[in-house]
Amino acid sequence: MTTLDLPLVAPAVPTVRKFWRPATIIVAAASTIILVAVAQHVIDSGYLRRDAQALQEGDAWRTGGWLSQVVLRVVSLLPQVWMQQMALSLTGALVCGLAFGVLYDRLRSNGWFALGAIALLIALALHAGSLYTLSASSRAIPLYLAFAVLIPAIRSLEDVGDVQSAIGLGLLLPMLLLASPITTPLIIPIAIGAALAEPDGRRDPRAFAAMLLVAILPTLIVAVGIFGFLVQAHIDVADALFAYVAAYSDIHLGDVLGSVATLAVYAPVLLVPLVYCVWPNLPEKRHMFSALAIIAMPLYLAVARVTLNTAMTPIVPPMALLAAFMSWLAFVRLPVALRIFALAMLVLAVAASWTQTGLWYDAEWRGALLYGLPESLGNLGLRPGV
Amino acid sequence: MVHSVSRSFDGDSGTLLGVPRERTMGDRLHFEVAKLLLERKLLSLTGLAIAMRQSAEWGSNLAQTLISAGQVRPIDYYKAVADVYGVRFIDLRAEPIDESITDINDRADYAERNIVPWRQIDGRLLIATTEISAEHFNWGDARFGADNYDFVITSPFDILWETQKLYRNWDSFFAREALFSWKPEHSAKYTVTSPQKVTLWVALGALILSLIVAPMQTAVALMATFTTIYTLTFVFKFVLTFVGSSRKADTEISPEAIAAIDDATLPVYTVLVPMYKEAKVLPLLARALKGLDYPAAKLEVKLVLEEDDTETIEAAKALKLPGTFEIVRVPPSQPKTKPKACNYALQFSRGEFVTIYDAEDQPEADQLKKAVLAFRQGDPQLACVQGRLNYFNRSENWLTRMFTLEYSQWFDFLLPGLDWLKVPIPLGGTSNHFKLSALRKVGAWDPYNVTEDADLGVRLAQEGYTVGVINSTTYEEANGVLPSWIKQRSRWIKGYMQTWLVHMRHPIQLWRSIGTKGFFSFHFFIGAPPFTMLLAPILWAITLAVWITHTAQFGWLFPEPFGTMALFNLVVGNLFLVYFGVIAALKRKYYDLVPVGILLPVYWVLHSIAAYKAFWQLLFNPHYWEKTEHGTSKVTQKTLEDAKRETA
Repeated sequence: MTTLDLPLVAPAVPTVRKFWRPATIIVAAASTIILVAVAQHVIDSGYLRRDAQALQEGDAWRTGGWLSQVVLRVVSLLPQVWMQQMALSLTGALVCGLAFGVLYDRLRSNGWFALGAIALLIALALHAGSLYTLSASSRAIPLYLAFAVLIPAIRSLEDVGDVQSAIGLGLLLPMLLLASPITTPLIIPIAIGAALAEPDGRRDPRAFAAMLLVAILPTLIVAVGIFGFLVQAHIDVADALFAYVAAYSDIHLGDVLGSVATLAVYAPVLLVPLVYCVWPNLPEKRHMFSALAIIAMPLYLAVARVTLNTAMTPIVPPMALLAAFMSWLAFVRLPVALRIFALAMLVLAVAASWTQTGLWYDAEWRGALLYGLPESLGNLGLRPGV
Repeated sequence: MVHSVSRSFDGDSGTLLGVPRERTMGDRLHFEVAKLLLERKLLSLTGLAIAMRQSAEWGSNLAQTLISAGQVRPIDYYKAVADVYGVRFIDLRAEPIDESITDINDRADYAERNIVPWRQIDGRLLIATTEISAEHFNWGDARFGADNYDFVITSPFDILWETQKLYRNWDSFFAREALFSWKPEHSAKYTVTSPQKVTLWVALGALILSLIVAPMQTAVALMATFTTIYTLTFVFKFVLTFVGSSRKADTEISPEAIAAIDDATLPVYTVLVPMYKEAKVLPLLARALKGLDYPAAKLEVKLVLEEDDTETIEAAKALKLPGTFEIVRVPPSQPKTKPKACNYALQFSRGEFVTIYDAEDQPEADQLKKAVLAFRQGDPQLACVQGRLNYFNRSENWLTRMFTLEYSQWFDFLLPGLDWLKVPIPLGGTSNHFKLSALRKVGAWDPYNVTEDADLGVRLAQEGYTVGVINSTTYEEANGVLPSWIKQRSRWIKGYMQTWLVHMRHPIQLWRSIGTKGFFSFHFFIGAPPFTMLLAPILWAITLAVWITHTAQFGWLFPEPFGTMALFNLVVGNLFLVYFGVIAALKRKYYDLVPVGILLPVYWVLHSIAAYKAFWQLLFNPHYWEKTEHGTSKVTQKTLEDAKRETA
């Protein structure tokens, strides 16, 4: 035997996979084109986007959603309303189209058949919440993105558990700070969870403190950065913090049960991660925390929306759940039965979104969306109320 | 007296190989020698039995095994070899080589094959060697003609010692000037070349002129440039840290793979230990090297000592080290640098692989085996694997804590990141393992560069070789004494400046040889850090002026988007650099260092102080080697006492 024959554990040469496969590019491009067409169709039908409307009325600011505010600030530089509408629609369609491409790519990597993956994407695109987010108000997209990126980060911490996972989660937590004042408190339990994910963190208080610091530091840095930029832009810090103060100044017990029930009705896909947690013989090691986070984070949103002082629309928690769920599907390896179950639940969610329209009911938008379609299709079960 | 094995061959010279082999006994020689040593009671039966078993396991010959294990003194062994052959044993130190019959062109053979013409006696040439084989006959035939010479036996140490004396000036010249003679553009003998000088003067002139003509615009342009450099440096560090923090970036060689190694397949490994006035830490070094999990008979440890450092030479002799250790005395010459000493010793190295350790280094026991496996597994162009460096005295004081954090980030995150990105890796000072042949091909170390290791990493890449990082750590002593730290750091920064200047002599050639990615990495890993360290105090001063006085308006200096970038660098960038420093502690679970990491900005101030010292030296004393004092740590002192107790 020569040393060449000796077993060497790693460096395992991973199978080199193209970052962008042709099918992925086609799906991303097709999705973008279709979504742009839909968004344009709504505008052409005379609908004024809600976010563009807010821009016109001057109340698009001080929501505390820093990312959407940056986008809106840039868009506000455009002189004409139609330009602003176009820019917002294009931004939303591009983000969603790209996300669809990535999702398709990841689904295929995780064993989904092409047909199943495309069916899933079509179902997602047909969800009323998706279309509303795309063509009526895209201000919640940063929040959806935050949820979507946190799920794989939590899963990576569970699965790989290396320093990169810890850094990755730490670097993504500020997304919750940037998304909305309501999502900011979520940073603390997730950071604590990250610190406890490391076995040393459960045994040694010093290790726990160190891991907690590592998880929380990027958020603090981003907060300091925001402060710096506010000062540079001569914006009153107190004014900027108003959205945070306002959100937590009037805590009241709203219709929590109703809000949670709505979440379940509009996004029944939440059953899939629950079933995943107990499903026997999974084709992968079970990662429960990330699966449960898909439900826990939107659940918090659903409760927070009715207990805190916020302008968050009711459609946001179910859509956040959908975003987290889709992101999870992109990384989890499910057995065929669970894949079919996931698809069925999504179809059910689509049906619920069009038949129980109370969360998003916007007659003008519906009219604009269905403008030019056969009238019989336009009247199909579209009625408000859950 | 019979003093040689006479050659008597009447047949076809094409069949020469078989005749001497039969006469010279081959492997049987060592058994005959062992028998003789037993008879003379210079070797015990148990010792022989152990050596025979080890010899079979290690695939090494009995002579190497017996000597490396200290079972027999080298001089006794080779005297017995002479007796078995029935020829004279020569003590070359008592009866030196006749210089007139040697040939400078055979210098490498004398060192590598242990063979050298000794004297002419009664008109017949005598060749001194350590054993007589077909190869030796062929070598003699090729130079002196068949039947014109005879052999005498001596010890390898005698040959090494005497040929070093004989070729002292040549070897020393070679160690200093080989690279410069071969590729002057890669040597730091001259810090800047004439075209570089012209470029620098023209740039300086243009800057002064534009400052006179349009001071504000020039200041704005300068600030925009600096801001961009800072931002790109930050982004590059961010990418490296993130990529390097992945488990995938670590070349993991498992304990199982190490356990499965058949020692017989392992090659000879040369370990160079350059030292200067470090007699007190020698016992530590001896203990660390004896602890290496590698067949002793296949280890060639060379203590590379300066000729004038008699204290360390005497201390090394007094330790009565095993036969695998050799002392190489480096003749005094300028520059008096570690790379020159290593180049000197490299001429007498016979290993397939070679590595360097500092005197106080404590490598993990399986490091050499891991390096061998990495080379076997790697692509043929892999010329070097870098072991990770870390510190055994991290908790000694604030400075050692900071130093440990910095090294952890460097070796556990940044270098694996560079490795993953496949860009040139500036090597660390020790624990870099080379293929000897590749090292020689690139001209070995640049003796005029004070960070010869970083420079070598770039040169290897330019010559088409690759460098990897292995998951084996060498623990060193962190410099915890501030003046000494400043000295050491100023040398490193000066070396990085030298390296950048040397390789920027032909930027297009550099870009072609290492590619766009490598070129970018070279600038932002080697060029930019010293520059930013020099620049930082100026920017801190401006920031402080703005914050404290509230009188000066500097806003005009940073038009958008540079204003936003500058703010980003100042707040987010700097804080994230602290964050990267903090997380460096995680891979090694140094949780106690995490809170301390918050103070990294104070450590950066020290870097800037060292950078100005380095810049000054670059201008006025570029080749001066600021010696780092080792053995000052309490941890080292304690380990040293333990080592001495064990020896006693």
